[in-house]
Amino acid sequence: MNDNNTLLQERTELFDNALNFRPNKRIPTMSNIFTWKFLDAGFKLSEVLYDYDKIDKVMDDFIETYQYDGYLDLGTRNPLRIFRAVGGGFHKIGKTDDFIEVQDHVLMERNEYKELTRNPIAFYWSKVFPRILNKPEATMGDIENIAKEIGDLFQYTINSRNKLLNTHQAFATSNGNAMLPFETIFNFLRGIKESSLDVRKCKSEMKEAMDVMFETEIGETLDATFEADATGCVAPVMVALLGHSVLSVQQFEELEWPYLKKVLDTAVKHKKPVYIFCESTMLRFAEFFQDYPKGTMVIHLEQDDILEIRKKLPNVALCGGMPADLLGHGTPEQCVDHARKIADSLGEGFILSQQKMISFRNDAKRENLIAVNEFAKNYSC
Amino acid sequence: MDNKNNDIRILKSEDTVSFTYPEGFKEVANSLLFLPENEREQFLTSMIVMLAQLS
Repeated sequence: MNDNNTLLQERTELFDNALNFRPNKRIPTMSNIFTWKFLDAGFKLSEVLYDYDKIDKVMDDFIETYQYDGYLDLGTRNPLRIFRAVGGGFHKIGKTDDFIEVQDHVLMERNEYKELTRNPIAFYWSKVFPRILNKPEATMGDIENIAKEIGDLFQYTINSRNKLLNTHQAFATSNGNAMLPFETIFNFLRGIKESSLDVRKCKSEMKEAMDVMFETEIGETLDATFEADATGCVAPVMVALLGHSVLSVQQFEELEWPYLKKVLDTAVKHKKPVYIFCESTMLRFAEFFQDYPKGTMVIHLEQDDILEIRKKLPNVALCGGMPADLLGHGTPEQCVDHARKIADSLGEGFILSQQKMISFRNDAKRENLIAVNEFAKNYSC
Repeated sequence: MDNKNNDIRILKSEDTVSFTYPEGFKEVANSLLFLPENEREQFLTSMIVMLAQLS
């Protein structure tokens, strides 16, 4: 077995042990670092985000420098070339060329839920797609340009995933992303403001649409995603949560939980884990996850106190622990002291990562990330 | 590493797209000549869902 295979085997055991609460020889680490890495490499965002060769080079240098065991982002979180092909999308590089703004946007009206329910694909084609293009008419040439850009993104993604596994012997998050229906409505179709109002004004129509969306977009392929080879992935399936941030516990139970439960129950059936990326907070929903066996999921926390969550969820592996405030403004010693405190308290069932998606220049200092990773490499748990 | 996908071809690039369903959808899908015939509608479906869920 060569050194590379040894490293892949080591990382496989690290993640498997962490998810299943077994002792580890050291703490596994996960990079939750997004546009910050381009700034760290000395680029303005406009210089790099339209060029897959530059993104590729940044990723290589980033992986070599920081040596995380796994990576949430391979540089494609903001595929601006695709947005350019569709006429700009809802994304804009900020004035100082070091951050990206995403506008809250509306792609469907409140009175269109029934049309979405009748046939989601027909609705996406006839209503949503023209609104994304944002012009009175499109040509086949426009379709060709978009298809080319999607082809390039797929090609880059395949290449970078292969390189991550075969060259760097490091992990990606998952094979597939199960976008829960309320998340699609909240983040994309209706936007944050309008979907928050919909919960109060037309919840039953939303529910009908979401049942169909889940089956159309997730349900049909969920078993296959869990069954596929997930070598080099922390989990076969990832679920990202943000919409729950505007929901009460009762609303969460109605609008997010039925679908998330289906994903988690499928994970239990296949004895494979789910990676839940939880923006905002999770604490008030913790009781929903309390009965699942160890090994069902890892929850990556953003704003929660990870030690408080552990008290509520002793059965769930947790990822995170390092706040951006500290990584961006503290000293290496302060960061390592914090990492040690978290690791000492959590013990098994823990992956060390940044709590927030590290995006802005002041979200982290290079020396702090390196110091924390060095600590993790030498800390047994 | 070759990150380019250069083999995308499409019919009648000047023609206006019809956003009717299923007629307009099928017409565009059938013009995706870079794909085998039985994969074209699935690609177009994935494309429009993906575009709606990109951020």
